[in-house]
Amino acid sequence: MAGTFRPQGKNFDQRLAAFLADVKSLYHLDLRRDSGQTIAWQQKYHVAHMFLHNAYRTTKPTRTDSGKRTIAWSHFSDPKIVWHSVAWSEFLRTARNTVPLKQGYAWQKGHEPDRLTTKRHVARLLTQAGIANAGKAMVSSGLKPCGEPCRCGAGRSKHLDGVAADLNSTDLKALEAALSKAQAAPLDDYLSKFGLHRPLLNHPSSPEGWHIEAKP
Amino acid sequence: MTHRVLSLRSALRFCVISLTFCLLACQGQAPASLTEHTVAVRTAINNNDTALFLSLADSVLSIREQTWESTIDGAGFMLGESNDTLVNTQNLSAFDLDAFLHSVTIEGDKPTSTNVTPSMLETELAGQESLWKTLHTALFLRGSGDVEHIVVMGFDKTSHKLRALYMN
Repeated sequence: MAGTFRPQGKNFDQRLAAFLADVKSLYHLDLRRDSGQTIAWQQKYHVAHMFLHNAYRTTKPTRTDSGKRTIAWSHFSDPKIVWHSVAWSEFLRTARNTVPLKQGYAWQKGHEPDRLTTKRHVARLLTQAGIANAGKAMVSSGLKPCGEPCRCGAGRSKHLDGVAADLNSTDLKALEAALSKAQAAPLDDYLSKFGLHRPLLNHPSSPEGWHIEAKP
Repeated sequence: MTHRVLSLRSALRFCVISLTFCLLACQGQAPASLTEHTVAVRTAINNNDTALFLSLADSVLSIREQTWESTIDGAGFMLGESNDTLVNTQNLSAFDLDAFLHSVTIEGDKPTSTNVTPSMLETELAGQESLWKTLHTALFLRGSGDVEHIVVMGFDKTSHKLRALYMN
């Protein structure tokens, strides 16, 4: 197939689909790719990550407790904060595990958010969304700049504009091994036949070998 | 007379010792401050300046490069394999320093933190705790993409020479 595919005039999705189909046909490998991540999805799980874990080392939410790196509970549960692109009702929970109720810019008595129940709920959100490492894997921001209640300044995921995709690192290694075994051209030559490349593979400041884009 | 000769000898000895200390102080440059070394190492890396880099590095330099990977069992990213190299900076026959410097750029102008401990970077520095806990550290943002990339520099607390580098 690679010999007959003409990437000229094809968009990114068409090129990637052809490449993935060729890999499956020739090497019997299913390369997993990110799918369905929207800006809202990305920001939702980024906020959840920054509230519970924060795997970033140089980046912190704007409001943290002293000596901590996650979003301060006093800020996360502040009824006056206007959340950006994510709904507090998806995160905050009362002690009875219900959605808190607001009265103007204050919590209704008896319906205030509870820290422990909210933490358990957010942890569940992350694992149910399939965030790896038991929900602790790093999730990048969906916004630039990152918005309330996080406002951390982390980079925005590069594959949210439909011009790039992330392929699974383990699957890519398996493909590289298969190409080597078959004495075929290296992975980046293979991608090139489909009008694709990995512009960040050896990037000096952000090397990310999973990131695939259409060649200009 | 004898007393005067002894006094002269003592004075002469004092002069010689003082002169010796003066010469030693003038010849040996006091180590630059850690802040100056930190900024200079960043400059050497970003300008691919091998001579400057070598002047700031200890005779043995530990370099750990670790990759980020998209996760195997779900969404998100995790740190993957790390590759450790011990570089003999007096003899670079086994290490291409120029290629190494060209492969790294640090975006952050200054360190975001200068007192990180191995316990704060337990995934990154695993197995190298005994080295890093003796060093003065500087944490830089290397760059941001889907994940945050960092560079950590470790300096000898006395000589201020660069003894360890971590990057992902």
